[in-house]
Amino acid sequence: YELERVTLFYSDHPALEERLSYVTAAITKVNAESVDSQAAAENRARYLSTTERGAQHDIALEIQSGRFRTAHALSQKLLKFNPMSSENCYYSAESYRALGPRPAEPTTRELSPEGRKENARLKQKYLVEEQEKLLIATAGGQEVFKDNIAKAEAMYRRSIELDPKNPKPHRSLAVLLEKSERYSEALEEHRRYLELEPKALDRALVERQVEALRTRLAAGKN
Amino acid sequence: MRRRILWPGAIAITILFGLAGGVCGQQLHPKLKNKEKVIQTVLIVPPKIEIVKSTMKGGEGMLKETEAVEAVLQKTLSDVLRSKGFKVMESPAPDAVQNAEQVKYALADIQSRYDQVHPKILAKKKDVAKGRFTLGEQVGSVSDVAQADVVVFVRGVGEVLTTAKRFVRAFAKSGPAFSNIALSIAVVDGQTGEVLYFDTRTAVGNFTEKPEKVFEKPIAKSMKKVPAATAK
Repeated sequence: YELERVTLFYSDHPALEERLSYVTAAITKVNAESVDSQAAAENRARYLSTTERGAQHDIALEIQSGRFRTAHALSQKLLKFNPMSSENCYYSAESYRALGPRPAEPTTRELSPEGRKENARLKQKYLVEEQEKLLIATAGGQEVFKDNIAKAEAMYRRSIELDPKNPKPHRSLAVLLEKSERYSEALEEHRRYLELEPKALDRALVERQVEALRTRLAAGKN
Repeated sequence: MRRRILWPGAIAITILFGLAGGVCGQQLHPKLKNKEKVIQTVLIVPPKIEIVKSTMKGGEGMLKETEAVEAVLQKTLSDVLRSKGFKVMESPAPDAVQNAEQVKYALADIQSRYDQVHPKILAKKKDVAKGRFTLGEQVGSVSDVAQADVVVFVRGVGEVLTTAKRFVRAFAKSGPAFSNIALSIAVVDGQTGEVLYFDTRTAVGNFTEKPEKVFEKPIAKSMKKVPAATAK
Protein backbone atom coordinates (compact mmCIF):
# COMPACT_ATOMS: atom_id res chain seq x y z
CA TYR A 1 0.00 0.00 0.00
CA GLU A 2 2.72 2.46 0.91
CA LEU A 3 4.82 1.91 -2.24
CA GLU A 4 7.87 1.20 -0.15
CA ARG A 5 10.87 -0.23 -1.95
CA VAL A 6 11.77 -3.25 0.13
CA THR A 7 15.43 -3.75 -0.66
CA LEU A 8 15.97 -6.73 1.64
CA PHE A 9 13.30 -8.87 0.01
CA TYR A 10 13.75 -10.23 -3.51
CA SER A 11 10.27 -9.10 -4.50
CA ASP A 12 10.59 -9.73 -8.25
CA HIS A 13 12.17 -13.19 -8.07
CA PRO A 14 11.03 -15.24 -11.13
CA ALA A 15 9.77 -18.11 -8.95
CA LEU A 16 7.94 -15.88 -6.44
CA GLU A 17 4.43 -16.32 -7.87
CA GLU A 18 4.87 -20.11 -8.06
CA ARG A 19 6.08 -20.20 -4.46
CA LEU A 20 3.18 -18.06 -3.28
CA SER A 21 0.65 -20.32 -4.97
CA TYR A 22 1.99 -23.63 -3.58
CA VAL A 23 2.34 -22.21 -0.06
CA THR A 24 -1.21 -20.80 -0.25
CA ALA A 25 -2.47 -24.18 -1.50
CA ALA A 26 -0.71 -25.93 1.39
CA ILE A 27 -2.22 -23.51 3.96
CA THR A 28 -5.69 -23.88 2.43
CA LYS A 29 -5.38 -27.68 2.54
CA VAL A 30 -4.33 -27.62 6.20
CA ASN A 31 -7.16 -25.22 7.07
CA ALA A 32 -9.74 -27.24 5.13
CA GLU A 33 -8.72 -30.40 6.91
CA SER A 34 -8.68 -29.06 10.42
CA VAL A 35 -11.46 -26.40 10.62
CA ASP A 36 -14.78 -26.25 8.82
CA SER A 37 -15.93 -22.98 7.29
CA GLN A 38 -18.48 -22.18 9.99
CA ALA A 39 -15.94 -22.67 12.75
CA ALA A 40 -13.44 -20.61 10.76
CA ALA A 41 -15.98 -17.78 10.44
CA GLU A 42 -16.69 -17.93 14.19
CA ASN A 43 -12.99 -17.87 14.97
CA ARG A 44 -12.52 -14.89 12.68
CA ALA A 45 -15.39 -13.01 14.31
CA ARG A 46 -14.04 -13.75 17.78
CA TYR A 47 -10.56 -12.63 16.73
CA LEU A 48 -11.81 -9.36 15.22
CA SER A 49 -14.01 -8.68 18.23
CA THR A 50 -11.12 -9.20 20.64
CA THR A 51 -8.70 -7.10 18.62
CA GLU A 52 -11.16 -4.38 17.56
CA ARG A 53 -9.97 -1.73 20.02
CA GLY A 54 -6.32 -2.47 19.35
CA ALA A 55 -6.96 -2.23 15.61
CA GLN A 56 -8.68 1.17 16.08
CA HIS A 57 -5.63 2.45 17.96
CA ASP A 58 -3.42 0.97 15.24
CA ILE A 59 -5.30 3.00 12.62
CA ALA A 60 -4.51 6.18 14.56
CA LEU A 61 -0.83 5.18 14.75
CA GLU A 62 -0.69 4.37 11.02
CA ILE A 63 -2.12 7.80 10.23
CA GLN A 64 0.43 9.41 12.52
CA SER A 65 3.24 7.51 10.78
CA GLY A 66 2.08 8.69 7.37
CA ARG A 67 0.87 5.25 6.31
CA PHE A 68 -2.53 6.46 5.14
CA ARG A 69 -3.45 3.64 2.77
CA THR A 70 -2.67 1.01 5.38
CA ALA A 71 -4.85 2.93 7.87
CA HIS A 72 -7.65 3.01 5.31
CA ALA A 73 -7.40 -0.72 4.54
CA LEU A 74 -7.55 -1.53 8.27
CA SER A 75 -10.52 0.78 8.78
CA GLN A 76 -12.46 -0.87 5.95
CA LYS A 77 -11.79 -4.28 7.47
CA LEU A 78 -13.19 -3.08 10.82
CA LEU A 79 -16.17 -1.41 9.17
CA LYS A 80 -17.02 -4.58 7.27
CA PHE A 81 -16.87 -6.54 10.52
CA ASN A 82 -18.95 -4.09 12.55
CA PRO A 83 -20.62 -1.32 10.51
CA MET A 84 -22.82 -0.27 13.43
CA SER A 85 -19.91 0.85 15.59
CA SER A 86 -19.57 4.62 15.99
CA GLU A 87 -15.83 4.21 16.62
CA ASN A 88 -15.32 2.17 13.44
CA CYS A 89 -17.14 4.82 11.41
CA TYR A 90 -15.03 7.51 13.08
CA TYR A 91 -11.77 5.75 12.19
CA SER A 92 -12.95 5.14 8.64
CA ALA A 93 -13.61 8.89 8.37
CA GLU A 94 -10.17 9.66 9.81
CA SER A 95 -8.56 7.42 7.21
CA TYR A 96 -10.43 9.14 4.33
CA ARG A 97 -9.44 12.56 5.68
CA ALA A 98 -5.81 11.43 6.01
CA LEU A 99 -5.79 10.03 2.46
CA GLY A 100 -6.63 13.52 1.15
CA PRO A 101 -5.59 13.67 -2.52
CA ARG A 102 -4.34 10.06 -2.60
CA PRO A 103 -6.59 7.31 -3.97
CA ALA A 104 -7.22 4.45 -1.51
CA GLU A 105 -5.51 1.99 -3.85
CA PRO A 106 -2.19 2.82 -5.49
CA THR A 107 -2.40 3.41 -9.25
CA THR A 108 -0.57 1.27 -11.83
CA ARG A 109 1.90 4.07 -12.35
CA GLU A 110 2.59 4.34 -8.64
CA LEU A 111 3.21 0.59 -8.42
CA SER A 112 5.79 0.64 -11.22
CA PRO A 113 9.51 0.85 -10.28
CA GLU A 114 9.64 4.47 -11.55
CA GLY A 115 6.54 5.32 -9.51
CA ARG A 116 8.03 3.82 -6.35
CA LYS A 117 11.27 5.72 -6.94
CA GLU A 118 9.33 8.96 -7.42
CA ASN A 119 7.32 8.23 -4.27
CA ALA A 120 10.52 7.65 -2.26
CA ARG A 121 12.01 10.89 -3.62
CA LEU A 122 8.91 12.89 -2.67
CA LYS A 123 8.78 11.38 0.82
CA GLN A 124 12.44 12.16 1.40
CA LYS A 125 12.30 15.71 0.11
CA TYR A 126 8.92 17.05 1.24
CA LEU A 127 6.88 17.17 4.41
CA VAL A 128 3.50 15.37 4.30
CA GLU A 129 1.63 18.68 3.95
CA GLU A 130 3.90 19.75 1.08
CA GLN A 131 3.37 16.41 -0.70
CA GLU A 132 -0.39 16.90 -0.40
CA LYS A 133 -0.21 20.41 -1.84
CA LEU A 134 1.71 19.04 -4.83
CA LEU A 135 -0.88 16.30 -5.37
CA ILE A 136 -3.88 18.66 -4.97
CA ALA A 137 -2.32 20.92 -7.62
CA THR A 138 -2.88 18.15 -10.20
CA ALA A 139 -6.33 17.71 -11.83
CA GLY A 140 -6.61 14.06 -10.76
CA GLY A 141 -5.48 14.86 -7.23
CA GLN A 142 -8.08 17.61 -6.86
CA GLU A 143 -10.88 15.21 -7.84
CA VAL A 144 -9.70 12.44 -5.50
CA PHE A 145 -9.33 14.97 -2.69
CA LYS A 146 -12.93 16.18 -3.05
CA ASP A 147 -14.19 12.61 -3.13
CA ASN A 148 -12.23 11.54 -0.03
CA ILE A 149 -13.28 14.63 1.94
CA ALA A 150 -16.93 14.01 1.03
CA LYS A 151 -16.62 10.37 2.21
CA ALA A 152 -14.90 11.51 5.41
CA GLU A 153 -17.72 13.95 6.17
CA ALA A 154 -20.35 11.29 5.51
CA MET A 155 -18.60 8.83 7.86
CA TYR A 156 -18.19 11.43 10.63
CA ARG A 157 -21.92 12.16 10.44
CA ARG A 158 -22.69 8.44 10.47
CA SER A 159 -20.50 8.06 13.56
CA ILE A 160 -22.38 10.89 15.28
CA GLU A 161 -25.71 9.34 14.30
CA LEU A 162 -24.69 6.00 15.85
CA ASP A 163 -23.45 7.61 19.06
CA PRO A 164 -24.39 11.30 19.51
CA LYS A 165 -22.35 11.47 22.74
CA ASN A 166 -19.07 10.51 21.09
CA PRO A 167 -17.01 13.74 21.13
CA LYS A 168 -14.25 12.66 18.72
CA PRO A 169 -16.19 12.87 15.41
CA HIS A 170 -17.36 16.38 16.32
CA ARG A 171 -13.77 17.51 16.83
CA SER A 172 -12.52 16.05 13.55
CA LEU A 173 -15.59 17.17 11.60
CA ALA A 174 -14.97 20.72 12.85
CA VAL A 175 -11.40 20.60 11.48
CA LEU A 176 -12.64 19.24 8.15
CA LEU A 177 -15.37 21.89 7.84
CA GLU A 178 -12.93 24.65 8.74
CA LYS A 179 -10.53 23.53 5.99
CA SER A 180 -13.49 23.52 3.58
CA GLU A 181 -14.22 27.13 4.64
CA ARG A 182 -17.63 26.23 6.13
CA TYR A 183 -16.90 28.29 9.21
CA SER A 184 -20.30 28.54 10.88
CA GLU A 185 -20.78 24.76 10.70
CA ALA A 186 -17.24 24.26 12.03
CA LEU A 187 -18.01 26.60 14.93
CA GLU A 188 -21.08 24.56 15.82
CA GLU A 189 -19.09 21.29 15.80
CA HIS A 190 -16.36 22.80 18.01
CA ARG A 191 -19.04 23.98 20.44
CA ARG A 192 -20.61 20.53 20.52
CA TYR A 193 -17.19 18.92 21.14
CA LEU A 194 -16.47 21.19 24.12
CA GLU A 195 -19.95 20.48 25.48
CA LEU A 196 -19.41 16.70 25.29
CA GLU A 197 -15.80 16.82 26.54
CA PRO A 198 -15.58 19.65 29.09
CA LYS A 199 -12.25 18.39 30.47
CA ALA A 200 -10.62 17.91 27.06
CA LEU A 201 -6.84 18.13 27.07
CA ASP A 202 -6.95 20.33 23.98
CA ARG A 203 -9.65 22.62 25.36
CA ALA A 204 -7.47 25.74 25.24
CA LEU A 205 -6.40 24.91 21.67
CA VAL A 206 -10.02 24.45 20.55
CA GLU A 207 -11.03 27.71 22.24
CA ARG A 208 -8.30 29.50 20.28
CA GLN A 209 -9.61 27.94 17.07
CA VAL A 210 -13.17 29.00 17.97
CA GLU A 211 -11.97 32.57 18.57
CA ALA A 212 -10.17 32.61 15.22
CA LEU A 213 -13.32 31.31 13.48
CA ARG A 214 -15.51 33.97 15.12
CA THR A 215 -13.07 36.65 13.93
CA ARG A 216 -13.19 35.23 10.40
CA LEU A 217 -16.98 35.10 10.38
CA ALA A 218 -17.21 38.65 11.68
CA ALA A 219 -14.74 39.84 9.02
CA GLY A 220 -16.77 38.01 6.36
CA LYS A 221 -20.00 39.73 7.43
CA ASN A 222 -18.28 43.12 7.42
CA MET B 1 48.90 40.35 -8.88
CA ARG B 2 49.25 38.11 -5.80
CA ARG B 3 46.20 39.70 -4.10
CA ARG B 4 44.03 38.98 -7.16
CA ILE B 5 45.00 35.27 -7.03
CA LEU B 6 44.53 34.97 -3.23
CA TRP B 7 41.01 36.46 -2.99
CA PRO B 8 39.19 33.94 -5.26
CA GLY B 9 40.97 31.10 -3.41
CA ALA B 10 39.90 32.41 0.00
CA ILE B 11 36.29 32.76 -1.15
CA ALA B 12 36.28 29.21 -2.61
CA ILE B 13 37.60 27.72 0.64
CA THR B 14 34.98 29.56 2.71
CA ILE B 15 32.16 28.30 0.46
CA LEU B 16 33.42 24.70 0.58
CA PHE B 17 33.79 24.82 4.35
CA GLY B 18 30.30 26.23 4.65
CA LEU B 19 28.88 23.50 2.41
CA ALA B 20 30.62 20.89 4.55
CA GLY B 21 28.63 22.16 7.53
CA GLY B 22 31.51 23.75 9.31
CA VAL B 23 29.85 27.17 9.61
CA CYS B 24 26.13 26.14 9.77
CA GLY B 25 25.29 27.93 12.99
CA GLN B 26 21.94 28.41 14.61
CA GLN B 27 18.89 28.95 12.43
CA LEU B 28 16.24 31.41 13.61
CA HIS B 29 12.66 31.82 12.43
CA PRO B 30 11.80 35.43 11.48
CA LYS B 31 9.39 35.57 14.47
CA LEU B 32 12.30 35.02 16.82
CA LYS B 33 14.71 37.23 14.90
CA ASN B 34 12.25 40.12 14.92
CA LYS B 35 11.28 39.40 18.54
CA GLU B 36 7.61 38.94 17.59
CA LYS B 37 7.38 35.82 19.74
CA VAL B 38 7.66 36.44 23.47
CA ILE B 39 9.12 33.50 25.39
CA GLN B 40 8.85 33.28 29.15
CA THR B 41 8.11 29.63 29.87
CA VAL B 42 9.86 26.74 28.18
CA LEU B 43 8.88 23.07 28.25
CA ILE B 44 11.71 20.60 27.57
CA VAL B 45 10.31 17.25 26.45
CA PRO B 46 12.43 14.17 27.29
CA PRO B 47 15.48 14.02 24.97
CA LYS B 48 15.93 11.00 22.71
CA ILE B 49 19.51 9.83 22.45
CA GLU B 50 21.10 6.78 20.84
CA ILE B 51 24.51 5.73 22.09
CA VAL B 52 26.68 3.04 20.61
CA LYS B 53 29.87 1.64 22.09
CA SER B 54 32.32 1.28 19.26
CA THR B 55 34.73 -1.59 19.86
CA MET B 56 37.18 -3.52 17.69
CA LYS B 57 34.49 -6.22 17.33
CA GLY B 58 31.82 -3.78 16.24
CA GLY B 59 29.07 -1.71 17.85
CA GLU B 60 27.15 -2.47 21.06
CA GLY B 61 24.11 -0.68 22.44
CA MET B 62 24.38 1.25 25.75
CA LEU B 63 20.81 1.45 26.98
CA LYS B 64 21.52 2.00 30.68
CA GLU B 65 24.03 4.77 30.00
CA THR B 66 21.60 6.37 27.53
CA GLU B 67 19.00 6.99 30.23
CA ALA B 68 21.56 8.62 32.50
CA VAL B 69 22.90 10.80 29.67
CA GLU B 70 19.38 11.90 28.68
CA ALA B 71 18.69 13.01 32.25
CA VAL B 72 21.93 15.02 32.46
CA LEU B 73 21.32 16.56 29.05
CA GLN B 74 17.85 17.70 30.08
CA LYS B 75 19.20 19.17 33.31
CA THR B 76 22.10 20.96 31.59
CA LEU B 77 19.75 22.47 29.04
CA SER B 78 17.34 23.53 31.81
CA ASP B 79 20.16 25.26 33.69
CA VAL B 80 21.29 27.12 30.57
CA LEU B 81 17.76 28.27 29.78
CA ARG B 82 17.14 29.34 33.40
CA SER B 83 20.30 31.42 33.25
CA LYS B 84 18.70 33.26 30.30
CA GLY B 85 15.73 34.14 32.51
CA PHE B 86 13.22 31.53 31.29
CA LYS B 87 10.92 29.54 33.52
CA VAL B 88 11.67 25.92 32.61
CA MET B 89 9.31 22.96 32.88
CA GLU B 90 10.76 19.48 32.48
CA SER B 91 7.39 17.78 32.48
CA PRO B 92 4.06 18.99 31.04
CA ALA B 93 2.09 18.42 34.20
CA PRO B 94 4.28 17.27 37.08
CA ASP B 95 1.52 17.46 39.69
CA ALA B 96 -1.41 16.47 37.52
CA VAL B 97 -3.33 13.36 38.36
CA GLN B 98 -6.28 14.11 36.16
CA ASN B 99 -5.66 13.56 32.45
CA ALA B 100 -2.24 12.00 33.23
CA GLU B 101 -2.84 9.20 30.72
CA GLN B 102 -3.98 11.63 28.01
CA VAL B 103 -0.95 13.87 28.64
CA LYS B 104 1.33 10.86 28.28
CA TYR B 105 -0.23 9.95 24.90
CA ALA B 106 -0.21 13.56 23.71
CA LEU B 107 3.50 13.83 24.60
CA ALA B 108 4.26 10.61 22.70
CA ASP B 109 2.30 11.97 19.72
CA ILE B 110 4.27 15.20 19.47
CA GLN B 111 7.58 13.37 19.93
CA SER B 112 6.57 11.09 17.08
CA ARG B 113 5.55 14.08 14.96
CA TYR B 114 8.91 15.74 15.62
CA ASP B 115 10.72 12.52 14.63
CA GLN B 116 9.01 12.73 11.23
CA VAL B 117 9.96 16.36 10.65
CA HIS B 118 13.49 16.15 12.12
CA PRO B 119 15.22 14.48 9.11
CA LYS B 120 13.76 17.14 6.80
CA ILE B 121 15.10 19.90 9.04
CA LEU B 122 18.55 18.27 9.15
CA ALA B 123 18.57 18.04 5.35
CA LYS B 124 17.73 21.73 4.92
CA LYS B 125 18.47 23.62 8.12
CA LYS B 126 18.39 26.99 6.40
CA ASP B 127 14.68 26.54 5.68
CA VAL B 128 14.02 27.13 9.40
CA ALA B 129 14.78 30.79 8.70
CA LYS B 130 12.12 30.69 5.94
CA GLY B 131 9.49 29.39 8.37
CA ARG B 132 9.06 26.16 6.42
CA PHE B 133 8.80 23.66 9.26
CA THR B 134 5.87 23.12 11.58
CA LEU B 135 4.69 20.31 13.83
CA GLY B 136 1.10 21.53 13.67
CA GLU B 137 -1.20 22.93 16.33
CA GLN B 138 -1.39 19.58 18.16
CA VAL B 139 1.75 20.74 20.04
CA GLY B 140 -0.69 23.02 21.86
CA SER B 141 -2.34 20.11 23.66
CA VAL B 142 0.94 19.55 25.57
CA SER B 143 2.25 23.11 25.86
CA ASP B 144 -1.14 24.36 27.11
CA VAL B 145 -1.02 21.89 30.02
CA ALA B 146 2.45 23.17 30.96
CA GLN B 147 1.41 26.77 30.11
CA ALA B 148 4.60 26.96 28.08
CA ASP B 149 5.29 29.41 25.28
CA VAL B 150 7.66 27.04 23.50
CA VAL B 151 8.58 23.36 23.53
CA VAL B 152 12.19 22.18 23.19
CA PHE B 153 13.07 18.91 21.47
CA VAL B 154 16.52 17.31 21.78
CA ARG B 155 17.91 14.49 19.66
CA GLY B 156 21.36 12.95 19.74
CA VAL B 157 23.49 10.19 18.28
CA GLY B 158 26.60 9.31 20.26
CA GLU B 159 29.57 7.04 19.96
CA VAL B 160 31.78 5.88 22.84
CA LEU B 161 35.13 4.55 21.68
CA THR B 162 37.22 1.99 23.48
CA THR B 163 40.95 2.76 23.84
CA ALA B 164 41.88 0.33 21.08
CA LYS B 165 39.28 1.80 18.73
CA ARG B 166 40.54 5.31 19.39
CA PHE B 167 44.06 4.24 18.55
CA VAL B 168 42.97 2.56 15.32
CA ARG B 169 40.89 5.57 14.29
CA ALA B 170 43.72 7.99 15.01
CA PHE B 171 46.23 5.85 13.13
CA ALA B 172 44.06 5.06 10.13
CA LYS B 173 42.36 8.51 10.12
CA SER B 174 39.09 6.67 9.52
CA GLY B 175 36.84 8.85 11.65
CA PRO B 176 36.72 10.83 14.91
CA ALA B 177 39.30 9.50 17.38
CA PHE B 178 37.39 10.59 20.52
CA SER B 179 34.02 9.69 21.97
CA ASN B 180 31.50 12.15 20.63
CA ILE B 181 27.82 12.91 20.48
CA ALA B 182 26.06 14.85 17.72
CA LEU B 183 23.17 16.84 19.17
CA SER B 184 20.31 18.74 17.62
CA ILE B 185 18.08 21.12 19.56
CA ALA B 186 14.85 22.58 18.23
CA VAL B 187 12.63 25.20 19.80
CA VAL B 188 9.00 24.96 18.66
CA ASP B 189 6.19 27.48 19.12
CA GLY B 190 3.79 26.10 21.74
CA GLN B 191 0.67 27.40 19.99
CA THR B 192 1.33 27.16 16.27
CA GLY B 193 3.91 24.32 16.22
CA GLU B 194 6.31 26.33 14.04
CA VAL B 195 9.99 25.48 14.41
CA LEU B 196 11.44 28.76 15.68
CA TYR B 197 15.04 27.76 16.31
CA PHE B 198 17.34 24.92 15.35
CA ASP B 199 20.93 24.12 16.10
CA THR B 200 23.23 21.15 15.64
CA ARG B 201 26.35 20.70 17.68
CA THR B 202 28.90 18.01 18.44
CA ALA B 203 30.16 17.45 21.97
CA VAL B 204 33.49 15.66 22.20
CA GLY B 205 34.69 13.73 25.23
CA ASN B 206 33.60 10.81 27.36
CA PHE B 207 30.02 11.92 27.83
CA THR B 208 28.94 8.73 29.60
CA GLU B 209 31.41 9.16 32.47
CA LYS B 210 31.51 12.96 32.73
CA PRO B 211 28.36 14.16 30.97
CA GLU B 212 27.99 17.49 32.82
CA LYS B 213 31.52 18.51 31.88
CA VAL B 214 31.16 17.45 28.24
CA PHE B 215 27.74 19.06 27.67
CA GLU B 216 28.15 22.35 29.52
CA LYS B 217 29.91 24.46 26.89
CA PRO B 218 28.28 23.05 23.71
CA ILE B 219 24.77 23.51 25.15
CA ALA B 220 25.54 27.04 26.27
CA LYS B 221 26.87 27.87 22.79
CA SER B 222 23.87 26.17 21.20
CA MET B 223 21.40 28.39 23.05
CA LYS B 224 23.44 31.55 22.58
CA LYS B 225 21.24 33.08 19.88
CA VAL B 226 17.93 32.30 21.58
CA PRO B 227 16.71 35.73 22.73
CA ALA B 228 16.67 36.03 26.54
CA ALA B 229 13.32 36.08 28.34
CA THR B 230 11.36 39.29 28.00
CA ALA B 231 8.31 40.56 29.85
CA LYS B 232 4.97 39.97 28.11
